[in-house]
Amino acid sequence: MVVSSLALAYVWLGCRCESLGRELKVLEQRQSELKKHYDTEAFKWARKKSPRNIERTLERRRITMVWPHRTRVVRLLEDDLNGGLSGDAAADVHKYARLDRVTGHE
Amino acid sequence: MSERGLLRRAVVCTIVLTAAMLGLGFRLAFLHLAPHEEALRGVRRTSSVSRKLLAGRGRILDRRGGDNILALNLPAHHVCADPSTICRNGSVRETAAALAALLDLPVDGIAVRLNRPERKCEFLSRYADAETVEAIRAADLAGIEFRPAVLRHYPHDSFLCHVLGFVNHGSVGSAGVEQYMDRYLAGSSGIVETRVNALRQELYARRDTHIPALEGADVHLTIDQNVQYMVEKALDAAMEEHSAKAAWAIVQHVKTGAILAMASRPGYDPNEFRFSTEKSRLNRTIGCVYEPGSTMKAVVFAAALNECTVTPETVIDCENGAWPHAGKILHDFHSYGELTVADGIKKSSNIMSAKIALGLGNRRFYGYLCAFGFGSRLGVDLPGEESGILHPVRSWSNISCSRLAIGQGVAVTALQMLGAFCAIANDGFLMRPYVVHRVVDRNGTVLLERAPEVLSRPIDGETAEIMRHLLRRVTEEGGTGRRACVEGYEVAGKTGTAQKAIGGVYSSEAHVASFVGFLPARNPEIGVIVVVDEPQPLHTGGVVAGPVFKRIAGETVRCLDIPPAPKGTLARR
Repeated sequence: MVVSSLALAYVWLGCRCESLGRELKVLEQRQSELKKHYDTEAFKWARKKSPRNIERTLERRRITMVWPHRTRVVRLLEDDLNGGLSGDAAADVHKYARLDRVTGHE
Repeated sequence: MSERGLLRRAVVCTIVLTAAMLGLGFRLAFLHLAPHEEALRGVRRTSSVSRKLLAGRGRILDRRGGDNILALNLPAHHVCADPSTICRNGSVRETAAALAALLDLPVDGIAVRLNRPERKCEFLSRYADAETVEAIRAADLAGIEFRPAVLRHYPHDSFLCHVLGFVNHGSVGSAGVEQYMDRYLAGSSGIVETRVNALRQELYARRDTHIPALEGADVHLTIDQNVQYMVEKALDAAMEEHSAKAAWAIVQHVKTGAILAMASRPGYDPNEFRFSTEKSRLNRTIGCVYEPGSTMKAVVFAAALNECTVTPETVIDCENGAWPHAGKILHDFHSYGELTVADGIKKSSNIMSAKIALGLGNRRFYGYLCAFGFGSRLGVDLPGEESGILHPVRSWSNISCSRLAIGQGVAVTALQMLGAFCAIANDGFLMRPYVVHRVVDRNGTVLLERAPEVLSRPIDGETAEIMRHLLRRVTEEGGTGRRACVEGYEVAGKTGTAQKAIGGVYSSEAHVASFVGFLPARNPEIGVIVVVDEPQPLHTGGVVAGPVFKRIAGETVRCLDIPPAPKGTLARR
């Protein structure tokens, strides 16, 4: 009885291993397929958002985009963002605020 | 049959069967117990397979990383035919006609290749894309099969071609970053040794060896995709406008030496590198040397100011445009009498530059040229960098010093000249230029990160500041580079117009026009050089290269959000 149980358990475990192995193999193939798919999509996306493609798309839609004129750009000084410094300290930090800093301040 | 006969027959059968069973038993025991290496090897050979796992090549991305992919591997298929099957079916013409339409190949060519009954495999198209493969599958042609392959692809075609380089058919990087960073990009292949069942299907649970492939790492460049695109567009326009033979430009971050854009024209499509010419594959920014002409004067003036042999206020006689020296007459483009040093560089006086270089002396002048990086490679992380031509002092003639001072008798690369100007912009520190920012593997581990590296400091900070001031005047009214000024920004730079030496004499027809400078002049962020080879009919640096510089610099400061220097950071001298 014991020997039969052990034999059955052995056979069951063997089958289970084989089954898991097949499952892993399928998953490996799936992973490979997904990676290929991801690469293809990444390629398409990279191509779509390239400056040349954006420019062509704008032309196709008859949209003209230009940089804003210098006089229409308002730049905040670093000390404006700091709430204003006084005296010598203010003279030392006359620098334009970076774009990310301005956005963060908003 | 009698009973006795039956018995005899039963005994004989029993003996035979027993003998057979004994024989089989002995054979079985013999096979299992006796050492039969040869037999075992045969069994292993038929029941196990060894497979090489190919490593995917890493991607190349721009400085913003993320989705800005400049090179990547794509799954593709080779389309193969089995001519023996097709000939046996008698469908050569039909198959050839169908494939010709789908693969965009001549029918006759395909028919000839299919009409070879002795062959089992004929490659019809390599690296066919997914759509083509699907279309051929849908046509359901007998004797056509597909073999999976990996294609190295450059999504933007000729964009950034000279920096990226290309990969040959053996998947080995053969130019540009692909070649220089091949050891990181290539990765290393793995291996699987496993048992298979009677149907040759892999038994996953009985894998003997599994060494996974090490995927190639991603290389992040310092190149900005937007700036690069705009630089390439500007060069294309300049090539067309001036009917130039070639044109090249570099945009460099002054304080670090990071290259933001590097373009050379004519270019090529790395996806189709087989059809490109050697000339189109040449990265002229680092692989083409030229006589710099007047841009070299900035180096002469910087050296003299650093040695205190002159000051900006020193007045020098420019001999009314013609100065005999060492038996030769040196001319200025326009005639000048006495000029201050500050005006001399603004007007680009050859005679003043020559006199200043002579005042320095050959050895000191040569020392400065070397310290500014001329005559040796700067060590940019790209293959094919030229060192330029700078002869040692011992081989100089009587007029060498005066001619070197005006950019003749010396050959430089655009990268060297830009490096010298960026040194002036960077308080005298000459930085090593680089295009690879970092290398990151698929797990996100940084394998290599480039840090700014100082190569030398030819001039001190005070001299650099004076030079920035003097070079700023070149783009002001009355200067040779006023076409290079950018609205809202102060630009410092220098024009260069060099006659090309053809057949040992300077040509009056062929010129190299250039402009090199940096901005904002008081607090420099970027340096730009533009070189146009043999522009026609206009040929001066200020007229030809100046506007290209203006276009590139103007858009770059917008792209990178570089503000004009605020009033509070004005230099006071």
